Amino acid sequence: MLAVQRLDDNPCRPRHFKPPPPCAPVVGDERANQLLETCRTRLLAAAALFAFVFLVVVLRLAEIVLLAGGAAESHIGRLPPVAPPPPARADITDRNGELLATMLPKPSLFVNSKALLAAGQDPDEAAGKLAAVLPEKALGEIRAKLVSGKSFVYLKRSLTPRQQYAINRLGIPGLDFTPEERRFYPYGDLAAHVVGYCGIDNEGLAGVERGLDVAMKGRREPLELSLDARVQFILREELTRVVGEFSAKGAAGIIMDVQTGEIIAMVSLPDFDPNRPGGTDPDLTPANASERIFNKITLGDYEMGSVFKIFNTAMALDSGVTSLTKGYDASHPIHIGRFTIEDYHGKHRWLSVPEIFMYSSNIGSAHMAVDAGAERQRSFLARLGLLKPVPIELDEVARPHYPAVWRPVNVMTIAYGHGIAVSPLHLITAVSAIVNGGVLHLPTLRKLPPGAVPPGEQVMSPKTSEQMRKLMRLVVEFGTAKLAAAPGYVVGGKTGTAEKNAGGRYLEKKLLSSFIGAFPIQEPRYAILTLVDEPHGTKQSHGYATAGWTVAPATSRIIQRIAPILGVAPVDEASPAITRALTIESMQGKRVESY
Amino acid sequence: MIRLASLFWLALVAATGFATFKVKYAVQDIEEALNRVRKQTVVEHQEIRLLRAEWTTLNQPERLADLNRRFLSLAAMAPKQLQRAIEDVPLRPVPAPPDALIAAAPAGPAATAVSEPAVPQPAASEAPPPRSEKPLAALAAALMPVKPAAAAQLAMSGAQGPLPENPVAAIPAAVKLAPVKPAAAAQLVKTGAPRPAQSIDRLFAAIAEGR
Repeated sequence: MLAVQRLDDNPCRPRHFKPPPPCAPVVGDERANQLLETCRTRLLAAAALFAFVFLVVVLRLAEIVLLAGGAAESHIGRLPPVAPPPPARADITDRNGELLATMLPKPSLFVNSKALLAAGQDPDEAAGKLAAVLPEKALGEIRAKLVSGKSFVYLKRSLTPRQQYAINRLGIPGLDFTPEERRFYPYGDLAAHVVGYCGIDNEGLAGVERGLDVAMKGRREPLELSLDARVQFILREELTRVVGEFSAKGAAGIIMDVQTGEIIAMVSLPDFDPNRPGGTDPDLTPANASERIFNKITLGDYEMGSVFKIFNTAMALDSGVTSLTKGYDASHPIHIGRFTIEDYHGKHRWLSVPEIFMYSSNIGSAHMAVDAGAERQRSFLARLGLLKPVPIELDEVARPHYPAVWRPVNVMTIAYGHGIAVSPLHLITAVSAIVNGGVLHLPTLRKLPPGAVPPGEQVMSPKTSEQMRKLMRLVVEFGTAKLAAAPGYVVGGKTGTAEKNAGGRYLEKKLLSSFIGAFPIQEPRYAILTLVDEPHGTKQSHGYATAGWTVAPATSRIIQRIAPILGVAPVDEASPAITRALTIESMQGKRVESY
Repeated sequence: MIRLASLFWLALVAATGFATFKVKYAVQDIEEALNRVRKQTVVEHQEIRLLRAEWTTLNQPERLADLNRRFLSLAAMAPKQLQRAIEDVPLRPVPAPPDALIAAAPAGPAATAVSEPAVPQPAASEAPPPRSEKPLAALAAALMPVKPAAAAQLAMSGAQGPLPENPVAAIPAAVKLAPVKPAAAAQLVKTGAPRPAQSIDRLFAAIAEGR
């Protein structure tokens, strides 16, 4: 009823429209009402959803436009970085940033034989042209590869830029290059044994290249070594001169920073060119090629002779068995078992400890060692690291040879450096500890940040170290190493001339002459070791091939040349401050016999 | 009315679309340029590596030593050339004022020297470094302090003629020539500041020519 009434009251009702006659009320249609309700709810839900989406869009717009959010997601940010991809291996530089090893693009040439033949190229003509550009390849070999019918054959690996240009100019179809990088050593043989070399696939095979192979891969910044290329050059030049002058078999030298253990230079002669480790010399046989690659400094095991008296004397002084004022009777040779211990520069009298050291008396040293005993000697050498391989960034390290059972005769011979074989690296590490105040620093080939002092182990008292410095100065001033003096740089050291041992016999004519020293000895900064293998006496050296005549003068020249480079200022050696620091009280006023 | 509004919106849509595409293409161009520059940078980096390797090869110590031998002949530094502090560097000897030297000259270093041959010639040791045109004269004066007359003779002949074969025989000639000496001495004094070593001069000249 009500519905009809409402329809009738509608003012907008067209006249011709008659309301339907009243009939059954519609209010009771529950189903229709319910349907309408559902539709309305769905509509509302859809509207809310759209409103929400639009709100999100608006908010995001506001964020981007007003708050500059999302800048990181911009397209620019996803561009590749400007820096080139890191080289396959990091560069190696010396301590001043001089390049010792780098990667250079050296493309390899390959031929797609199918494409070449399909292009109608005459293989004979192409092979002839290529052979002219690649002179080291045989014509027949090139031709065989061109007609092989394979789609990938290497013609030549590592081309030079000039060769690549020349091949491009030939315009032969089917040839292409693979981009490759190869290791290049701009300084050639200068630091061959330290830097080492790489194989054809750039894997480290020797030296630091092998020892630090993992650290080198994919690293962007160069690897800085502790070497100084200038010092290395001087050391190598002077040692080459020694080898030539005394027609020696080889030579080796090493310079170390005694305060940090950094190795400033390391040379082993004969050496090789790491760019061509196999060598291209026609007279190079596999035997002498391997001799060249052998690093005498780290891999050589030598009975070093008298330089071991440094350790013997330090051991006796540090353990308190003897002192600078005491002495031993060196008038008679010692007979023990089948050995006879004699002196090379025999004085045949009682010698004080400084004299034993200065005149390099084997008899006196042997007495001193027996006085101290086997246990002290062995533990002292072990503390200096002489009985185990030296840890360093190289794989080529030697294991020292020493007697398994320390017999009395061993004690005596080890006192003067026989019956124990160590590498030169062992020697300089231990001597650095002796002169620097008694702190043993392990040697390293990596540059330390300036001013950094690596941890060290105190292996003897600073007082012993001071006494040893005085003794080493005495040897250069009055003893066997007078020719090692470098005016202004206050060198101190000890010579050693050992007969080489071959199959248990000592060969009188085959010597290993060495000098180990430090400068400036009153407050040492650098230790230097030079040794020459099988030198022969010359007229200038009066026929002597001993250390005092061979490596000592070379060491003097080396120190005079490198000291200004290393920033060691020359001093007046006669100044009171220095003489006071280096005088041994018990030697004062005594007449020193000279040779 | 409705049509006007529609036209306005339509124009706006068209303008916005046009502007959008314009900006889009501009950005694309810039991105391409950027990518080109980035690729070029990588190439340049490689080039730098190559040049660095070449530079190091050219700086091999053996090569530098050889170049030094051929063109410069520089010697290694000696300890006495290095001093720890500025106070350790000795002062240059003060040159005598030119007037005094000229006034003293007629008495003549050469003449004095003939009477007292053992006294070294003062002018030779105290005068500032001689001009490089007469290195021979300076050398002779430095080498023969005992025979200053002969040195003077050498100094003259260095510029004027061949060396006398016997310095002792040349002494009278030197005495005869002595009056000429003051002029030479004055000239030596007036050259003033010492000239740098000749080899550096030559080096600069060579560099200038090279350019």
